[in-house]
Amino acid sequence: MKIKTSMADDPELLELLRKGDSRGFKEIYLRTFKSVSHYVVDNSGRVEDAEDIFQDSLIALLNNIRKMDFQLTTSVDNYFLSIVRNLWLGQLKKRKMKNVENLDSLSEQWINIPEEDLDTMALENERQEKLYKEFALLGEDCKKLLTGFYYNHKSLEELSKLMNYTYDFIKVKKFRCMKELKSKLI
Amino acid sequence: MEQLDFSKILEKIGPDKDLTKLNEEELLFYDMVRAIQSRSADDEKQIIQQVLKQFKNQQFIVKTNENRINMKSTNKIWIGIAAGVAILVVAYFFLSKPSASTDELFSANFKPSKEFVAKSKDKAMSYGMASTGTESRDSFLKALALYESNEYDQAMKILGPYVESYPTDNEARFHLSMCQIYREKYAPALVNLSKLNEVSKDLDPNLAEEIKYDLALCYLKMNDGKKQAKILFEQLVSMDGKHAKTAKGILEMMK
Repeated sequence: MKIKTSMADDPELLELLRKGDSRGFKEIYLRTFKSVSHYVVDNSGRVEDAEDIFQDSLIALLNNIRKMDFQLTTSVDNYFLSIVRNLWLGQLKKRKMKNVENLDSLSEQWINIPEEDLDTMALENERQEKLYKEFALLGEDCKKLLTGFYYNHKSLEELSKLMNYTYDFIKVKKFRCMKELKSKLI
Repeated sequence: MEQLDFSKILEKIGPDKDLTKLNEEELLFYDMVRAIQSRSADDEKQIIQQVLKQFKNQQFIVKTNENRINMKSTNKIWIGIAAGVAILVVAYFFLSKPSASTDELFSANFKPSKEFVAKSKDKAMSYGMASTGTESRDSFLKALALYESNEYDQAMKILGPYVESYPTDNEARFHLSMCQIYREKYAPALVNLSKLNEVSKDLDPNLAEEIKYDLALCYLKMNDGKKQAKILFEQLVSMDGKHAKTAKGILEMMK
């Protein structure tokens, strides 16, 4: 799959992003980072904030587009910039910033993205923190399987093909991996 | 546990994430999936960071080369106009060399070295930690594992106190300084690398070279550090080791 700089079609770009292909990351960076940077800097942020919010937004974008029921009603750029805007507004609220300017200058066509679709995966409790660390210590197959299923939103059928196992084996394997992770808590 | 469906759990708690609606088993399952997602997101974020960092560096190099080409073309026009051989030579000499800011040079060339992790692990496992006790050895090994998986903050939290307790552990100090540079704590990193550079004769020559290289890069991030960085890069060139070529290139860009 060839991709010309800043000229990739949206479906092609979406496919690259879904797969976590680095060409997709570069493409979205080329298309939007300047706007993101100007927007954040114009609204009480620094370039470093722009880089952080860009990465968080990209993770949120990947999370959303990998969901089975995802449907894009605008361009990828617009959708991504809408995520950036929402996340940056959230940051400003957290920082209790006032007098922010140009808050609508990032994109001409805002998309309303529900807050629950902008999950940046922050952990909420100690148990999750512990599981977060223990997950990294699982075997490679378990990590691949659980990441594929719960993070990349792949089905067990897809994963069985991807990992070259039978469907039944993958189903049992997933159960065992979750059981192993659970056992780390005890 | 496995019969639970995460999407149904999300539906149950609603957009306000009211976890009180879940029973104990559902809550545990929710925590597990959140932790998996968070870990996977962080891993992917690190990949994105690396990809974009490399991409920005590539763009920087391409830009520099384009400047060089443009400047060479400009020089050819100057010849055509016959503005004088002497002026042309001087202009070519000064203008055709690419230059870069110290920050750009640092970003384009710094990468926390993983080369010495395995050796440090072996050393810790065999004889190196005999006097420090099992607990310290385990914490050092844990720090190395974290370092290896790019978790520099976590590794730094362990290595900092560890180096305070065992100040002669050069490998630990080196890995601590790498974490510090990665997290933009240049001043303490400079102190650590300088200490190591002072005892470089007692170290593995490859590690000694790496320390000198990282120290030079670290100086690039310091006010008034350019002169010291140049001295170190010159030393690296004369050592003719792994970093000699890069050091030579950086010196060219610093002119």
